[in-house]
Amino acid sequence: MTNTNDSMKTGYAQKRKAINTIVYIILSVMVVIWIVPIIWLILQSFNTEMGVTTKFFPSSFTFDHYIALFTDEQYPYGKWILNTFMVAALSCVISTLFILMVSYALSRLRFKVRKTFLNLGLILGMFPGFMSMAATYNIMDIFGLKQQLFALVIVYSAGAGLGYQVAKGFFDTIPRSLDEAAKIDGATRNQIFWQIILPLSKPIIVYTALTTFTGPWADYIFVSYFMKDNESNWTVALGLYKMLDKEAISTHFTTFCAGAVLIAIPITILFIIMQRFYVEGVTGGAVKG
Amino acid sequence: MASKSKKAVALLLTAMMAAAAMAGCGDSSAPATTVTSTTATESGEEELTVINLDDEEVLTTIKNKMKEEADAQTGDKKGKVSLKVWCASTDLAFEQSLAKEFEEKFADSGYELKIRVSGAIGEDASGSKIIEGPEDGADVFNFADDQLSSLVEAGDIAPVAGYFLGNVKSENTEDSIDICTVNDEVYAYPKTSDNGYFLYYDKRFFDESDVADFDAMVSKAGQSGKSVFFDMGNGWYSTGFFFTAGCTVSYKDGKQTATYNSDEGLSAAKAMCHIAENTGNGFEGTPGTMGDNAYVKAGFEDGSLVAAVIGTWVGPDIKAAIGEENVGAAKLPTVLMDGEQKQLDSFGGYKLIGVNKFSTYSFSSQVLAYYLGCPDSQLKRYQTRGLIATSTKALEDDKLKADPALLAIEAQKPYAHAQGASVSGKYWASNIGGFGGEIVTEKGKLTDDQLKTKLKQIEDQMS
Repeated sequence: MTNTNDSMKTGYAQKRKAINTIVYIILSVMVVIWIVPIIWLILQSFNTEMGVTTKFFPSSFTFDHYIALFTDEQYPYGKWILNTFMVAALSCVISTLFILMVSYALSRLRFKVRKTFLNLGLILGMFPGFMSMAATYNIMDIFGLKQQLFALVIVYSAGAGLGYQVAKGFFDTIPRSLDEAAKIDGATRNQIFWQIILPLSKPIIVYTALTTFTGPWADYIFVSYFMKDNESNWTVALGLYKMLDKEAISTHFTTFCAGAVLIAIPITILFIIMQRFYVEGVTGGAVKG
Repeated sequence: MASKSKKAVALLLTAMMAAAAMAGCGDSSAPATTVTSTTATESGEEELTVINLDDEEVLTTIKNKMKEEADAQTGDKKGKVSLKVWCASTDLAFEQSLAKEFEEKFADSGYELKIRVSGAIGEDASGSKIIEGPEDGADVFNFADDQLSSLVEAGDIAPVAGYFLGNVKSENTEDSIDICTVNDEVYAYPKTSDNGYFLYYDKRFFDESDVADFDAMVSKAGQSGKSVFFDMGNGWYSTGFFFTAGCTVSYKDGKQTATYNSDEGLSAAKAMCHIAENTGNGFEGTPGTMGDNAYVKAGFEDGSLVAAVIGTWVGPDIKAAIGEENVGAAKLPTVLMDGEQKQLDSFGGYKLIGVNKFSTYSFSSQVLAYYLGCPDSQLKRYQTRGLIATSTKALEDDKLKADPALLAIEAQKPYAHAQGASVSGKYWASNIGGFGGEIVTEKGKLTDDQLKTKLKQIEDQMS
């Protein structure tokens, strides 16, 4: 009896070990596949040869491309980073406010077209924003915001309220009795939102802020359509892409790599710091979503 | 009574103003010489004046007109003329220096002159970007000649102003003016004549006698572990084979024809296959992901390439890589087709400067466009950027006259076909590039039937 039990145990352990080995091998292969391009990018950003190479390890290293990023007048990377940061930060603040407010209203208030609005929002959200790009461009022109950075902020944040789903799911998990208790104490809806609900919603605030920041940070399509040839108002995504033009690639490929490495640093740090809120935020909202 | 005298005063004033305006015209033409245009219209020969930008009176006339435009924009305040130029990003620094010269030359106390040069929209795309949104487009833009007909069709390009027409016609080669002329009207300022390709080679490796025959070059390069580059995967280059074979490639009245599904088409394809057999052994036919310009530059730098079919835009890079004295240029070599050696054809063309019809400063833009394309600027463009001029005066420059690139372009000219008259967007959208690329990757090992199917496919895609 004990014998068979033992052999069963070892059989199970062996089987488990075998499965684990296979899983780890698969995972290792995937890690390599994911990491290699990033390492390659970093290596190329230090390569002394200017053009595209097929070699993985550069023959010699230099830091010049990082310096060139901030000294080359034709590709003013420093200005682009600043533009990107301003647009992303502003859009992030405005969008986050919009989303949280809309979500709170839809979660707590009961009004006539609430259900219709929920459905409408869902359907409208399915259409990609760039569908109306040309029209938006002309509207911005009417406002006198043609090729202006603020036009981008408006575009990125104006429709943000439609992304209420996750945050609304989160608010639904906060007991309504809290609202009611506050109401009895004489708080208005506005006070409840700012003083009771928001302090309890850190995870979802962080999650919303992160997603609304990374969107504009990496967006290419709107910038390229809106800014056209106005280099001083480009953002990093468009600027870096222009370094890969057939006319520029032979002299700017390594600079592009350096730029790509730099642009990844702030967002990586942000993610590492916010990671624990981030995970909580997504799952917290999904429970009752 | 009072109203009558008012009227009289008004009339008198009008008459005076008209007289003054006429006097202005007279003054401007006074220091100019009169030439007879070569393109005579039915009504007889039109007379065109040639002006000299260094002449004080001409300069004053131009400045006055620019001031009018500036004032029209701003009203009472000090007027502003602000112009935008699009050029190739590689030429940006040079075009900016010209713009600076222009700002200095035409500076005036009556207005503020500001020119912004942008390299964001290159010469290959500027035409379509102007058509897409002329209001957002540059006032003055550099473009390749194949876009001229569509720009004229769309009505987005302004014809050369009469004020400069005499100069443009008398200062540039006749061929270049023909290219700029659509329906008897000159629409653009010619800039360079090198929008085509020819053979660049390393003189230390090849003699002049070596570069006449493609196969001979490939085998000589192969023996030393070097390569000759011809970008077969790019339709702009590979079309040369089809021209050589005698296929009809034309674009007329919005219709694209290319008789590739024919015996001639097959001959061209087989000639390509014959060369591609040596891929990796003296021949390279595709630049991979890095683009042909970067590939050629890198190839000459590390010594793996000893010859390449490409154009003047890579010239400065090749010179820097192997030393100016070692750079040779020649017309394209002959290729083996239907059992005999035939001269390889090519595309050849011009790069032009256009003025946006919707520019707020229509006259000032014309002045700038003329200035960028004037003989002195063309010569400077050659000296700094190595681009071959269209100006007859610039072409008399000793260095330019002897430039191997110019000689190669001239030698290739009888075999070069104008892009605007041959191909349209539909042509490039077909699989012509992929076809050549496949020949290279298969190292030419494709049967006649396979080739025929693919050629038929390309022809179908164009119609």
